[in-house]
Amino acid sequence: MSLNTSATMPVENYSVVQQSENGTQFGPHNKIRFRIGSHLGYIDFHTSYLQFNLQILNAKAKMEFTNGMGADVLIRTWRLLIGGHVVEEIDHPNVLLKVMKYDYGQDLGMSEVCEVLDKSGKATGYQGLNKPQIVDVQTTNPCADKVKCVLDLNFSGIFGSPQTFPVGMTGDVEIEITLEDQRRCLQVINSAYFPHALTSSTAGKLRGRKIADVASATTDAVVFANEVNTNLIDNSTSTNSAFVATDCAFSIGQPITISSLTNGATRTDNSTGLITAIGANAGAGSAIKISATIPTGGGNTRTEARVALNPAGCVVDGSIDWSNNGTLSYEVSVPSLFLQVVVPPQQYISEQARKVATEGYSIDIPTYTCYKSNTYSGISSATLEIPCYASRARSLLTIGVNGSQSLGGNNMLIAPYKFEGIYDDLDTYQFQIGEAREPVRPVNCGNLSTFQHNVAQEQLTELEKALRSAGCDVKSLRKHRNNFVIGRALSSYGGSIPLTMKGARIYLDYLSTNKRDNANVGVIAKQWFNYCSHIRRLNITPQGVSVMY
Amino acid sequence: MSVNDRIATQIKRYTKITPSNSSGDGVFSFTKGNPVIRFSIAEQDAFLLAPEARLQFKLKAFTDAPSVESVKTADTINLDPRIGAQSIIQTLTISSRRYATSICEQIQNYNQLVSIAHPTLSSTRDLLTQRNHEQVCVGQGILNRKQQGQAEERLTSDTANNKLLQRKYLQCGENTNLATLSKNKGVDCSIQLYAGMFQSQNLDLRLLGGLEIEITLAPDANVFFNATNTTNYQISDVILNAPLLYKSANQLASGVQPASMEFLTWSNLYNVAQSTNATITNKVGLRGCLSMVQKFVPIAYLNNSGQQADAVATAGANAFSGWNVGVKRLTFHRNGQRYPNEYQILTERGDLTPAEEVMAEKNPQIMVNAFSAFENYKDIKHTHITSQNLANRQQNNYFLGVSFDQVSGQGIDLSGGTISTEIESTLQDPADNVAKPFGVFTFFLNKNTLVIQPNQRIQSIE
Repeated sequence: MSLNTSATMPVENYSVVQQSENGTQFGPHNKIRFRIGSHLGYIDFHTSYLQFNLQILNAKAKMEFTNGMGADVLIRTWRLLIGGHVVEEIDHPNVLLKVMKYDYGQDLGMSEVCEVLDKSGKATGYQGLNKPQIVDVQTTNPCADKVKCVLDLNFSGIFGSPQTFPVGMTGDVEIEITLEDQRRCLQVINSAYFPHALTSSTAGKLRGRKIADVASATTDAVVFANEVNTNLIDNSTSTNSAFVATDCAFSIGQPITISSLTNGATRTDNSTGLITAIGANAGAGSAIKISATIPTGGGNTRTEARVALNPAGCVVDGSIDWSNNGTLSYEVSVPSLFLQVVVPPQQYISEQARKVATEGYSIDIPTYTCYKSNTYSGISSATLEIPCYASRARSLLTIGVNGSQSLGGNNMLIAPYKFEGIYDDLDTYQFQIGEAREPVRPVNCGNLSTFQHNVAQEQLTELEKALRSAGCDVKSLRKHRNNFVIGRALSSYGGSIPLTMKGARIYLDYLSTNKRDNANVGVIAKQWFNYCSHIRRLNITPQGVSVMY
Repeated sequence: MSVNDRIATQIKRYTKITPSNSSGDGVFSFTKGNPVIRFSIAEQDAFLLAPEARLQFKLKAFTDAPSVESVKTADTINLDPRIGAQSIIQTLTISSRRYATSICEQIQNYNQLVSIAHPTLSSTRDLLTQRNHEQVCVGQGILNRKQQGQAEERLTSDTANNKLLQRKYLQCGENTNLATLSKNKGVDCSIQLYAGMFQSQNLDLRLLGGLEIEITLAPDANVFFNATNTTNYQISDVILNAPLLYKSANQLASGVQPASMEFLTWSNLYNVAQSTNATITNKVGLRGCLSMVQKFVPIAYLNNSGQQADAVATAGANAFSGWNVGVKRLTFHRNGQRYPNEYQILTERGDLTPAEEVMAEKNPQIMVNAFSAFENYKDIKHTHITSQNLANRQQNNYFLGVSFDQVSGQGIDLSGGTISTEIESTLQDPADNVAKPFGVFTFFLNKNTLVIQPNQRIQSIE
């Protein structure tokens, strides 16, 4: 429905709820199964959605989703069966969604809508994942709240299609969702690590949060710069709350480092300590005051001071590890599909039944298949094999994730697990479809390697074509380097080509010499997620349902 | 920007229509003049490009009853930051000029409807830029580079001086004696008329027999906030900018046959919710009802400029804010049966104060249903209704909504039955968190079919 008059056939429609059939509470790696019974007749999946309650368990610090994503980061595997036939089987839809939905498919306004529905964005932004309270990593457990999440499941060919689906004719639709490892999808909120905007006029983008200048020789507390309109809001958004420190990104027990310009000279990390208390800074507006055991400043005046979590580790006193290693988890409870049931007129149903009985009825379902592969560190010229033989392939997208990164999430000082593609000074790439190399010349990505991170125009054009052919309405290319994706559109205007007996491979060549200062030395190991966007055809005949791969 | 080889067969002209009831000085005002503005668009062989129509006027504000004292720098008078000058329209009525007794659409509490629709379908940045230029709603009218990558709450804080910046549109100078009418130049506004008829399609002026548009101005106390009971406004130089697309030779040759046309309309009903366990029931008599939206405003905030004054609020809580009444459980009924959702929506909201329940101010399922009242929620790309804005009660744009027909866009027949919203809530007044009555503005979007017998009369509007 839109704000235009509609000339379509009037049909009755209403919404029903279908709960998971194999339980009500699920944890990491668990499978959730739904069965959409054929008794429902017709379903409009475009207006249907998945909702569940989410609660992070055993968190010692305030947590948020990794990779700037919403709750869809929790989906590790998606399988959809129709009438007993596997129609969709997407491994790691979350890696694909980071590309298709969050990094390339949204502009700023759309990401804000996503914050409401999917709970993406900063956890200090009222997603409800964390309780509005001051957290002590030694005592507070749990500090998370139960929150409801809604996922549109648009990545699925069934849920993304605006066409009404005749579940009454195809037989039951079964959905199986495997949940992601908690260490890949959760992280300690990074508001305490990195600023979200350039706030320093002299030092550029710096690590940590700006705080009030440290003039005293005996410092034992950190007060965020008393600028209600700037720095405080980064750390606490409770502009309508009396005690804003409850939404502070930091937790008691976390080690912090203060860096500053000493006597206006070079920036140094010159104080480390453990947070002992968090509270409102009395008499100074609504700034937050963090008390910490911080060594004195030696009588020097420190300006442009910033505070961040200490990269040295959580165990400052050497006795207790508050990093919560191994116990962090989450619980998804009462997952439910809210389905829009459609009741077409009897003539329409009769006509469709007649079609099934005579010539058969076909439904095209666009979907993705993930083929994983690896490259090893130091290999500067490599080939990725994509053993995809789909009969109607539309596009190939390849994402090279850091293959040697440790799992994050449960340790507040280990970098979060990242799904993003690593550029890693790639010089050129070229696809091979069957025996033909495409495009005819390798795509040059070398410009990205320059110190200024220049744009590789040819690669960008190829990428946008590939994303669009894969069903992504490209809204932003800002992450073209931060989430580096190699793509190839296999056909224009929504068409497809057969990869039958062909398969695909990608030839990668990394820069042999670094083009810029501080470039990565050598090529890192990568876990490649190679997605093929293709179409499967569902044929409904009196003999039953068959699927064309 | 594509090229096509078609030859233009129709002429488009922008016509400026002045009010048919304008007095000598052309001034309209709720308290100091004529509060009703009428426009007559003649019956002619042309289509009114209704979605492009704009109401243009010059808005002046005064701080004293005789309308002499202009707004000064120190005055904290402001318009609603979301809808700006749209707040001056209380009722919008659209009818046929030839068939004078037939009202096609009448929206009571039009400004309340706009205060739902604009924030829902515009991002904060849209409000800061385009809407600002149209209706002086908020901010500086620019989107600077610093704001481009910022989170919503930073945008709010960066524009914390909205009241000052916005007041510059209305104010006339320093605090010293500036109380001369000659210095009050007013501010130019060009607003879109958010009527259902004007959203849907081009209107055939021959078929409709011309159009009569009547605008009733809103009381001063409902327009301004941070104001006194003597603050009032005037509008002058009122023009309806109406683009016309003249019919082609083929269209003229075919003449006007007995015909029908379809269009959307909004209609409004007002209720009061007085209980934390309430059922709001309406009998609406609509045959093609597409959706319903409901907005809650504390009774004390309505028609009361004193209550609207809130010096603390950065963006101004007023009668156009949409308050979350602490919704815990929500069910929609049609004729006593759950419809269109065969389930209750349960939220995370508890019994504590709004500040303590700040994380539970929004529920994605309620928002999905609310968005769906305008279009499929997956197609809503930009909205002002963000996590931060919902958490900040002063900035709130909360509303309830539901679509009755998400698939065919034909609506449901409510002509013979009732439609109800069963709601369990805390009903906390924003001032003291005690349960108090809230006004409930309910708007229905309806698809109508107009059947016309040329040169006779409108036979029916269904």
